[in-house]
Amino acid sequence: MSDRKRKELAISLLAIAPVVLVLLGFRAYPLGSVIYNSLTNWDGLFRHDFIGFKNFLRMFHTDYFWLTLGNCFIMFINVPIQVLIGLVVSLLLYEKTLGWRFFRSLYYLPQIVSAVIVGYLFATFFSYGGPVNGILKAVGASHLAIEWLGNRLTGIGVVISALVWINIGWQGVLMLGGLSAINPSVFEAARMDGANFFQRTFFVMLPMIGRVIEYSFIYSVAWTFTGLFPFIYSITNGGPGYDTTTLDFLVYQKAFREDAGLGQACALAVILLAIVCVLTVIQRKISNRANEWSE
Amino acid sequence: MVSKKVCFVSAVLMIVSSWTVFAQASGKPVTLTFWCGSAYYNSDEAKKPQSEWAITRIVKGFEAQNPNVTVDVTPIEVSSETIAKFKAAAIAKNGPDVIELWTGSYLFPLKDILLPLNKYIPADDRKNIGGWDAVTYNFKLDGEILGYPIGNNYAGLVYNKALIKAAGMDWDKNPPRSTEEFRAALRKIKGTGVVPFGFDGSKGRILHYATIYWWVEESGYERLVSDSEGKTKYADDKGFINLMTYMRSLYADGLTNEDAATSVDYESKFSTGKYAVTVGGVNNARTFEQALGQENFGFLPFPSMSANPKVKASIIGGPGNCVSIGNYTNNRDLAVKFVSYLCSKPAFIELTKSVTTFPSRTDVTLDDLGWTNDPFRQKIYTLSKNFAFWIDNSIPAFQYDEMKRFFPNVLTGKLSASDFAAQMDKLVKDNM
Repeated sequence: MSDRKRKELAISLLAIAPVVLVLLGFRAYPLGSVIYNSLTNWDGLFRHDFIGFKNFLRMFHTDYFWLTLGNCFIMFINVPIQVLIGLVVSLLLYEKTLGWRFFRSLYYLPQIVSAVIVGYLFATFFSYGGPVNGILKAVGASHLAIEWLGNRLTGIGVVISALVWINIGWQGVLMLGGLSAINPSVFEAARMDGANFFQRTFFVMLPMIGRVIEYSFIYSVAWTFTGLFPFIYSITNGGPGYDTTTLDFLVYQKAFREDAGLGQACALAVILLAIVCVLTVIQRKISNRANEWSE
Repeated sequence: MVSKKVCFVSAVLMIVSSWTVFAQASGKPVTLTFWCGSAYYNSDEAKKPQSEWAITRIVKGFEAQNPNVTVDVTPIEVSSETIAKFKAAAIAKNGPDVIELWTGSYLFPLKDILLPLNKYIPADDRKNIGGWDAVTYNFKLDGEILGYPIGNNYAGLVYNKALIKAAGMDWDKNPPRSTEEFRAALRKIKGTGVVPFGFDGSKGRILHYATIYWWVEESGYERLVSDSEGKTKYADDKGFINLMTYMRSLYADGLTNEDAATSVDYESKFSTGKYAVTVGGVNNARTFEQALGQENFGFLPFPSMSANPKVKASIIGGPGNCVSIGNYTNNRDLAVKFVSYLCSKPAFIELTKSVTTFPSRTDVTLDDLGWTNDPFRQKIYTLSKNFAFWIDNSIPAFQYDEMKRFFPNVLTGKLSASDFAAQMDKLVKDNM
């Protein structure tokens, strides 16, 4: 290697070194540490013996692990709902429907409110003596006034409503960004060819923002597995029993609620990581096929 | 060669330790760090500048007696998360010198990072402070003492006198003495159209205040501990099954609030006269008393569930908190001196002007505290001479968490008492 090339290589390595160091320090080290600790009986103090895959096996043998995993998959329902509503919102804004400037800010408002506050808001709304049951009783539907947070499916339903509500603004802005990137002449051409609103939407717009929708799905699915903690904590606290507990909430419970749960919490975090990685790969494969023609 | 190294290390250690002692003795400034929890400040104080808190006044008193010492007070909320932070800080040897923690089963797993105080505690403190067993490792008399007991809270049932009177009863003169008498009284209250017994099953207060009391009373502490250690079974524990069945029957008979499993507002409903009875401790009684007025606020010791109780106490409580010292501290003697000062009679008298909990010192009288005209505190003070210790501090935390998690299901009938007991046994077995 010539001196010049060596110098260039050194400069290149120096240039990327800060980023690599930051990534190693803040991503690789914690990740490696979690994977290692998942194979130990770490209690947060001095007990740190290597126990192989015992934490994983123990988890797979509990009923609550499968229940919480099932809850995570049920929570997925929020993804298509929020993407769909976000898409409708973005279309309305894109088409500059009456009052669009006002609604553009309004839709984004929930996004800037803390997740815990949104959670407590929904918990209050759906509490037994809360406004939702109050309205139901007022309109003569007392039989529908139930303990929303005291049953598995209704409890999960309330959490999903909160997730959809808080994310509509973000989804709308994301989709609007995608729509704005489309050359307006494409729509003009479609209009001149006689395509109506629905034809323009389904045959022109949607295929052209396929990558945005893909990103939205991948991100939302990963978020559904890893970002529900503040909602579960503030709305149902995972109860009754483990009925509304999700995997990320279980990680917290294992880590901070049990004397020797840190090793198990790490094992759960590794399982969570594996599931999210697998789902992301599957989604990308499906999405690549769907988007092939547009590229 | 090895002996040379040993000599060198010993010499360095001697120099460092004598320098520390010399530094303290010679007036070199020393800073003690204290993570102080809610046993030392109340929610009203938390809204004011820290300089106005009672603990700040107490700390200033200590600093005045020890001119070269500064105490750096950091308010914390004692919680599982804080304990995890403390563990991490202790391992890194930069944790606080002194910290407020929970007693009993929450404290014992931290033994490896706490300073055993047995040889440091002055005889006067040993004699005049109650509740040492709550901070002694595994409750064994000869175990390591891991902190000074503080924050004595006591709980029983609180009631709205006007609503009880409207149902034709006077609990001041004739309180229900058994759980069946209590059930009959709740039925009478229900007849007046008021919710008789309101509480929140999911947050745990009903469980660790009332329900669990009946378990101790009927089964006794030894059985409780042996269940939690897997030596006996919850499923065979009549006391455990009976109390769960009793609470379920109160809910099923409509004698509790309909949303007992998920309620978030039972305290405000009791305070506004919508519920006749609820559970209450000295920490929330002041709020109830202010809302209902002293003339309408009543405190009822627990009616007895068992004809032959193994523990007869009437109230549950004791020192739920303690102040401990990290074993990594460079200022052991000074930290012990500070903790002893925090638990001195003048410090408790000053503190009780602010916090609701009772002093753990037995030589502090009602007169010292200015409570001679306070019937509620007088009653609790008398009853506190004989109390059942908190169960959530007596059994492993993960088992109590499981009880708290599934108690609402038992209440609403989704899980039977016997299935719940079997589930507890499985949990114990899985964790052995």
